[in-house]
Amino acid sequence: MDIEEKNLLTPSQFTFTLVSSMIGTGVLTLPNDVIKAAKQDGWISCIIGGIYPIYIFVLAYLVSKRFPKSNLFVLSKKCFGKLLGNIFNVIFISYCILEAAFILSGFGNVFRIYAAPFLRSYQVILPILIVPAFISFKSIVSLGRFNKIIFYLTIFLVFMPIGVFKQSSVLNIMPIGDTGIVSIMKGAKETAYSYSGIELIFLLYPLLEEKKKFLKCSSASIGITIFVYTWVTFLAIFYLGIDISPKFFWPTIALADSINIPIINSFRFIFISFWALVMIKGLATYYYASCYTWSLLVKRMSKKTFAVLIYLPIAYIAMRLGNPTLRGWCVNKTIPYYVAFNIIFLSVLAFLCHFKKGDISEKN
Amino acid sequence: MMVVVLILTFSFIGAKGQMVEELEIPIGVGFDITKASSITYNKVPIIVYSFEEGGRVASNVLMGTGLSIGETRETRQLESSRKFLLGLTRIIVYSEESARDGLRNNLDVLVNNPEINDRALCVICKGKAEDMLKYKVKGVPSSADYIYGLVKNSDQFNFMSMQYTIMDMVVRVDAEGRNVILPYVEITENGIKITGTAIFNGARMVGKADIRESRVINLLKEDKVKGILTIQKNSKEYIDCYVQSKRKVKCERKDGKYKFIINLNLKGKIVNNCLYNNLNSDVKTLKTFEEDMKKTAEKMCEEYINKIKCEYNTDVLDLGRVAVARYGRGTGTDWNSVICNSIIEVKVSFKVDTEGRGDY
Repeated sequence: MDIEEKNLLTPSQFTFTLVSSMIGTGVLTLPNDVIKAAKQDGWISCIIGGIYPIYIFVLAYLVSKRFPKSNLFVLSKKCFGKLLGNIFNVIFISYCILEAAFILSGFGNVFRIYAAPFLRSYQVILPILIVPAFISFKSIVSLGRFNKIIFYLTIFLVFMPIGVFKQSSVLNIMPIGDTGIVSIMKGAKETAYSYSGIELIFLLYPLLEEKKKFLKCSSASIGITIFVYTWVTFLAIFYLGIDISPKFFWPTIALADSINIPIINSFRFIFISFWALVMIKGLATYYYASCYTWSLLVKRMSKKTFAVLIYLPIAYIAMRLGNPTLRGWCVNKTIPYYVAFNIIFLSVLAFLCHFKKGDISEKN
Repeated sequence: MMVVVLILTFSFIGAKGQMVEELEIPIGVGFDITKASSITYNKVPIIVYSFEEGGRVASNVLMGTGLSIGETRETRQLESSRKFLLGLTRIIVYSEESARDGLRNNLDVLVNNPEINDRALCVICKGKAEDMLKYKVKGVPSSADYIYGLVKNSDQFNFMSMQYTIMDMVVRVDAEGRNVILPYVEITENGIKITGTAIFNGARMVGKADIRESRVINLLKEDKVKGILTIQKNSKEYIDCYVQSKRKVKCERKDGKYKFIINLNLKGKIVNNCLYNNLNSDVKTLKTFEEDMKKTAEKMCEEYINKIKCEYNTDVLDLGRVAVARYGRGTGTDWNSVICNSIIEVKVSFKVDTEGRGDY
């Protein structure tokens, strides 16, 4: 494929790019989604929901063994024929673009509530979108570096709300396992939407520098994501309780209130600024994926052209999504279908690849 | 690059930055209601600091009146010459009347607005919140600061636990098996004073406990609280002990009836001793003292436990919370009524931790 040697991701960049493909705005609302179904056992749902990224990863691993240098778009054309394959590819592209728009509008909503209520919607969305557009304009390496740096910058976000242990009670998460296996599985289904994004692994694995480390990197990133989701949900239940958490749109940010630093009156501004970075890296990953997939589909135009072209459409969709309620409705109306599509599409693809002649010769 | 610069400049035109002299900083918020026939008026007095030239801080009370809380903001703006800067509020004072009417609408406003300082302390006051905020206290710029200090440092004695912030209220009011209690302040001859505890059922205040009863409620309800316990024979012979508590609650269910056992693990620092001889040298005396103290504490709790259990018709001691943690959530049990029909046992264990410098 037309991948130049220099434009490859190092193992750590690959890991963190996968992490940011999964962790987006979902992490701020996830506790409420699982509490709805699984009550105080929501955090168990998050662990069980981890089956979804693991499943997709296993598929990717099997495929990558036979086709280490072909990405999703080439494979789908190979397996389903040119027409059908391209239709599936277009659906996949629309998925990337929609995800980018969802993250962006979610970001705008949170940011305008907690950090900058005096700004208008477009005043947040347009400048912020420049960052991912610029990164996508450069190369995959910039994306990898960006994801890596931001990950290290924001790693303390995960451990910061540890202060809740001082104030809350273990009674909030008891009785463990009382809601029953059915409710926990329902909760796990909810988390699948948060874990979605792992599908990008099919695009990314040919870009990994050392193919041998694919297993290690992917499992590390999935592990990190499962940990973050479980941890955040656990803390929200532990600190706020299942009756109170749904009263907040973004319970994860409410956790910031547990931190009491004498000079800083409200810690939320710092908290939200760092979460903003996390969201921007998710946004950048999807933005890159959108440009990249477009350029794979339309061979004549380069990725750089698309980085400029899709800027306005994404901003437009994000602005049209509007307030959190409307956005939530749109997410619930689209993402479940995309997740179903991805599972079926990728499973069938992996199944068909199994019978195709792999590019073993390329491997050697 | 041009586009970037353009968008950035465009975005930040009209951003609102203001000099501190042009701002009003709300430091205390009150909530009053007035009932006129069937209509309830909300009155929200807010005490604000404004910085005048020469670094002087002036405080005055702005009043907002309206049928809804939003409307009070509008009427308040009519008498305010500056811009509000929220986020530094220290205290929220609810009048007893408004608390008895229910605080759900207020809580809704507080949760909704992200600029509110969630660490602001809440108190219930006798009479009008407006009077409380207008009351002048010597040595502090406003009564709001004084009440803030009063409540903030209340956890040193009386077994109070300082869990009275907005956030504490939010996580208690609607949670299953939990209820909030707030300090009750009054204007007395000697100034503003905490005179008891306001007891809530959900978002509605249902009763007031005096300070003696509050001590027992706090001791039984909260974990890790501090206070003085005394064994007194007469005005000369007594022993004081500064104890710190650890609370553990067990819950059992038999034939649909609940039994709660509150285990209090008290550790004490002897403050003075004019009752026991040889307390410092004789282990036996020390053991007798520990036994006596245990009995005193149990007696103190038993004296009030029936009143606490049934009088307010609410689960004052957060016992429902322990029961749901064991027997499952969302069963629709009304813990506020169940508690009155259950058995509550208090078991105290007492140990002397330190004995001070000496015994005179």
